Amino acid sequence: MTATLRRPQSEQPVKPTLIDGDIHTTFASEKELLKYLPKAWHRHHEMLGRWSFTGTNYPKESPNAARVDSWPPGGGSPGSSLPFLREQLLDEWGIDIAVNNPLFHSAVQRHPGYTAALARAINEWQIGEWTDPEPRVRASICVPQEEGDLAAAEIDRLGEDPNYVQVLLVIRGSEPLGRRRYWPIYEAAVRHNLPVSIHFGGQGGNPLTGTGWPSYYIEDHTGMAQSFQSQLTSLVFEGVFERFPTLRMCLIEGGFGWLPSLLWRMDAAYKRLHEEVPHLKRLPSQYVRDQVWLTTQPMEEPAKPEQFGQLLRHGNLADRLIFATDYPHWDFDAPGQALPKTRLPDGFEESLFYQNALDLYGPRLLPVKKV
Amino acid sequence: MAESIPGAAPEQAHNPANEQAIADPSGYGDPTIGAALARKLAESRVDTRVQQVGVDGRYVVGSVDDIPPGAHKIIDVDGREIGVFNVNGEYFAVLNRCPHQGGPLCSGRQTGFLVAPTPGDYQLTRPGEVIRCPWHGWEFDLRTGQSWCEPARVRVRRYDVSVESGEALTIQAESAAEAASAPDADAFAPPGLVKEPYKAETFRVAVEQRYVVVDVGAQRARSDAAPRLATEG
Repeated sequence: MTATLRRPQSEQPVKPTLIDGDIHTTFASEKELLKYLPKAWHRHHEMLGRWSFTGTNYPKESPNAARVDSWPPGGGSPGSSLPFLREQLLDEWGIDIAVNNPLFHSAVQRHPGYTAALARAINEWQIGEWTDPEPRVRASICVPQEEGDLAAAEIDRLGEDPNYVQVLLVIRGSEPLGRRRYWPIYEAAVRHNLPVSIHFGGQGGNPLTGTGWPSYYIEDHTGMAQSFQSQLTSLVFEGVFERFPTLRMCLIEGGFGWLPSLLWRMDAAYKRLHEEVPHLKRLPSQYVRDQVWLTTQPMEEPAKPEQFGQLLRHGNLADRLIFATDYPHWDFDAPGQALPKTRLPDGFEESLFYQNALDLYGPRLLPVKKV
Repeated sequence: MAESIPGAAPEQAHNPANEQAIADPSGYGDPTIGAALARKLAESRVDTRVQQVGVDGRYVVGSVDDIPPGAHKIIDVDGREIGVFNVNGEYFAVLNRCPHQGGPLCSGRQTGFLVAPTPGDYQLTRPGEVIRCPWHGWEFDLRTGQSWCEPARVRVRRYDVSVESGEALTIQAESAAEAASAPDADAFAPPGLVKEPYKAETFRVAVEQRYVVVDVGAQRARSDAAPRLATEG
């Protein structure tokens, strides 16, 4: 499998065959950020800066939660150097398309105007510093997540630009994502036929788990899957998928082993309690089946590898999983190395490594320009 | 005849004792952390393609001064990257490829095993004898190559390391060369000239320095005989 994934850099593919659903780039410096932040916000940024998020509640496994070998030799943070990203990720593995998910915390700022300005700066910076010089990188529309109208305005501003392939949210906002305050985001995304992807992380002020704050990073890292389950439950029962039947969503870095039992539980509950949610017309699992994709990293690693195949069947996941590396973060999955060593369904690798991503993102993932 | 020991390049090896600045993982976004890590990685990049000494898969890594206690060096042996570590005067060598997902194991952090007999009582045991992969933090025992994440089925390949005198290595290299093809003065004769009976006196040149030697051949032979340790169950 590994051999077929590598390809000389010079061959420009007509259709991508290795798509990375989750990479992270970051500003090389404060100066680079200010280059893209409207001048009107410089004083606010310098005096108050980014509130509410200094990176983590817990010391991570390694600085910046990054692979120890991902610090660019020329200085700067992991993910801040395009030449090093090419060397260590795109060229190393022959990746045709990489979806950039900047985690610069525009989504969780408290000041509505500043959060919108910061999101806008991040979006412009992705084009100027990443997708323009490197067409293999594709951008996400970052939005002021808690301000539905401002978020929708930013989506409308950029929605027809083919460099952007999705709207990016974080999984831990201020409220469950099915609630109506967030609907303008979904409405705008549907208007431009853009998927909405929700990434691991964020800080809306709520504890990570439904039972409160844990003690260790290992609990944070493990427990984030709970947040994904809570949000998917909210999106289903609040009726987001029913209200926006063409909405496509992707859950990034939240795992997928939990999906089968959650769907079983939601379906069973719906059969008994459907009077409470009469706005739903179908089984919860049917909405998820038609409208939700998930990324693999961090790959589920059953102690008995053959259980991975069972998991794919139980969750109907073979045509819904998108491969992701999470570069440059420490829990990076290497293409060709990450899959459990077991017999996989016929055609699964093609689905995982590109076809499912093409199904989710559509023509936005096809090459838009040559190097 | 042998003026220098093949493969013994005098590169500066990485010394973790100089890297205290990176010890605190909570300093998110602190550029000094990145600078220190980038420096460390630049130092530990593969910089030496070593050559075989003798005929039995033994390679000179460098002089003992190149790898002081606490330091390590990554070398290229016939296209295989091997990290050679000096832990308090003992030398260990393992393949620079993590058996989990193929990460560059030897550029990870060198540490010990942190144990807690009871919650709140933390003890760092065997400091320096454990290497942690820079990707997922998998730990391997430098003495044995054993993984303690999944000890039942994963280990990284280890190699024997020894320290030998330059003189011994010179003799080995010469006898290997002689075994391969005996030197013959006639082979170097300029065309048309006749060999005169006079011959200048030659001397054996020995190098007194002590060298670190990694033994690939012996390990290779052993692992071929032993059941193969797989990374898959």
